Amino acid sequence: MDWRLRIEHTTRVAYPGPVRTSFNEARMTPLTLPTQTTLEARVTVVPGAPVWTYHDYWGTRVSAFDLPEPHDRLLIRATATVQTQPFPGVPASRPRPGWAELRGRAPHGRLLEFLLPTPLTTVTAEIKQAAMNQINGLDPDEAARAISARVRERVTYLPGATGLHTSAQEAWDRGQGVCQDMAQLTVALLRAAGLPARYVCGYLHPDIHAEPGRTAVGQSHAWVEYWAGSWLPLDPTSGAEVGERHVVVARGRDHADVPPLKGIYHGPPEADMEVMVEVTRLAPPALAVGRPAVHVRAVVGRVRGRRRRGRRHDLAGIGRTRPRRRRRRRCGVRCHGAGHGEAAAQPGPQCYRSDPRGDDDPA
Amino acid sequence: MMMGRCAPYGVPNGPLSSGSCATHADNSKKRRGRAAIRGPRVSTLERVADIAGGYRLAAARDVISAVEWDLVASGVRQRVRALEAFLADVYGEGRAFDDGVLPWRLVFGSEKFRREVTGVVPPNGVRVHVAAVDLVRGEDGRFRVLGHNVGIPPGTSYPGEYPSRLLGALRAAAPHGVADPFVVLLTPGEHAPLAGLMGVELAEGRDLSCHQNRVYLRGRRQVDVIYRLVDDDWLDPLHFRPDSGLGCPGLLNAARSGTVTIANAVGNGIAGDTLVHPCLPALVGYYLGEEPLLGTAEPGRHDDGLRLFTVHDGSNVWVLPGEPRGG
Repeated sequence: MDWRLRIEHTTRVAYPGPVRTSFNEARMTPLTLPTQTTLEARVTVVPGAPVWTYHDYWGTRVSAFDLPEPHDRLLIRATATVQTQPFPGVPASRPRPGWAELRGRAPHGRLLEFLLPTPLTTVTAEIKQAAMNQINGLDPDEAARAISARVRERVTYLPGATGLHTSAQEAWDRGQGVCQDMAQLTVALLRAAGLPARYVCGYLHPDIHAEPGRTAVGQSHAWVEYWAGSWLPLDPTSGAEVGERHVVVARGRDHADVPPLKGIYHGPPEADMEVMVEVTRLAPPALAVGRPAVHVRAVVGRVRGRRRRGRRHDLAGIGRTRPRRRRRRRCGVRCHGAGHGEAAAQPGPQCYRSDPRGDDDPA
Repeated sequence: MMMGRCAPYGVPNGPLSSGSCATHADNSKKRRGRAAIRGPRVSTLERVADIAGGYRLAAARDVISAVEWDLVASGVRQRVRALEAFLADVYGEGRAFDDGVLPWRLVFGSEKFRREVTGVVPPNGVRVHVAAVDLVRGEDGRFRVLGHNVGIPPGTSYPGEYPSRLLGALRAAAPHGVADPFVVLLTPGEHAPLAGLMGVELAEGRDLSCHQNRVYLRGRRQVDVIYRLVDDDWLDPLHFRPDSGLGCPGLLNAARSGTVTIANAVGNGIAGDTLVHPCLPALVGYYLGEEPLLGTAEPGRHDDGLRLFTVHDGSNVWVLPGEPRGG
């Protein structure tokens, strides 16, 4: 049965001092796909600014805005109503390609893009070999499920253990991580096995038995899709089927292609960021006349913005739920761009975004 | 070894006429081999005019005959058109890749492929507003293309017509509806002479600011065309290197929304990839349906080289003699 979901993704950024010339891009608008229809979507910001949208290379709808005037708070509110369907599966009549066909064909077409490793999804030959040994004798679909299970077995879900720029290799070595790490590691291993794979970013309603009119705690989520004749979803974090509860926002090679929020500004390097995702299952349209479903708010995650060089707080981090405690560390204010004409003692441009080169670990 | 040096004006501030014989004598051995293909030479007047401009004039027309020059110029023009088609394809449909003319690996494996510029449409269809093309003469006496630069063409000296042609091309590339475009040269800190020669404003990254997808110079005048000598990586810290102070955040989205033109286009670097270069004769055939007029030289050391500049204003590709160069 179709689900209708209401998503409210609120990001609050508090800067310790005035910030100006802030340029931002939010990727928070759900896609419209065969299995989901975005009925309504909106991104608003405070302080008020026109939000301009475009579709990027990956087909993600990007909301861009700039705030030239000084401000010390930023609120980004992305709301959407999405109708989702269960993943229909692959018709039995449709021939499924075998390994020989996949390995022969995929590297020569556009799918190659999803076979090549990226900085965040590069793993050592040993890990690849271990994964290959495990899928020996399995068909592509079984192999994908085996890889997903292996990642779940290897990586314990532990919020706060990893950072936004943690690579698949680091997640494997550490044996801990969140959905972002598990998805990136799964993508890396699927590619190693010869299956084109992409990283999917979106929202999850965690209660599979949610009745219409009931609500539950929502969250940002990441999962994967692999290609074996067609794109098939896989949720390595839960191992559950991908279906009505999953809302796709963006797809790319890894997290760096689909950051929910990235930006750059002039001002103090430190910022407190609080991310809240509320997902509400709405009653079916016929029943929705009158009052909509009960709306429950939950603070899902809190991401603090300290970064190694004090420059980047990024992300409306995916699945980075942390205990709500307030910690703010101020880094010295440094000038960061000679070209921006700032004296050395004045604030330089700051940046928050997913940067695969960074090693910012909010440990 | 610079063959063009046999012309006196190939040397900076060289004597006009008296040095001519001496220079020729020095190169007499090589000269004999080339005498047969040497055609009419440019007039002294033209040389004087160029020297008066204060820049070393390219001796291109001195090394090749008029007939050969026409062939070379047509060949170079053809290449530039093929490169334009290639870039439009890479950032568009990817036809040549789907058709198997080029491997997708060439795009997805390249660090110069900028996914960020997908959706940026150049107003007059030009991505390669200016290019430098290096030619070498092979054993058989024919010129071949050794390489091309369609990103930020190198060079500190510019042939006589170059600044005015370039300015014409930049103005022609202005966003739709802008009758008298404001052109700015964005520099990492040098190249002031070119701005002076073109008569445009010189700007550094900190002089530019963006607001609601429009670019302003020093917060006042809206900029329509940016001729940039800043590499892609440093152009927009929102999309590329976040630590860059050489560019200006918001530039790329302004270009995407069509209020400003960046020349040369961002992402052109992929056309300079060493893997693309050998494929170009095939691409001339594929995109233009023409026989390639110029072959591709093997990379390596070549004695007898020549650098040409091209300027594309949307209707014409001007081929301008550059400077002789050794391998």
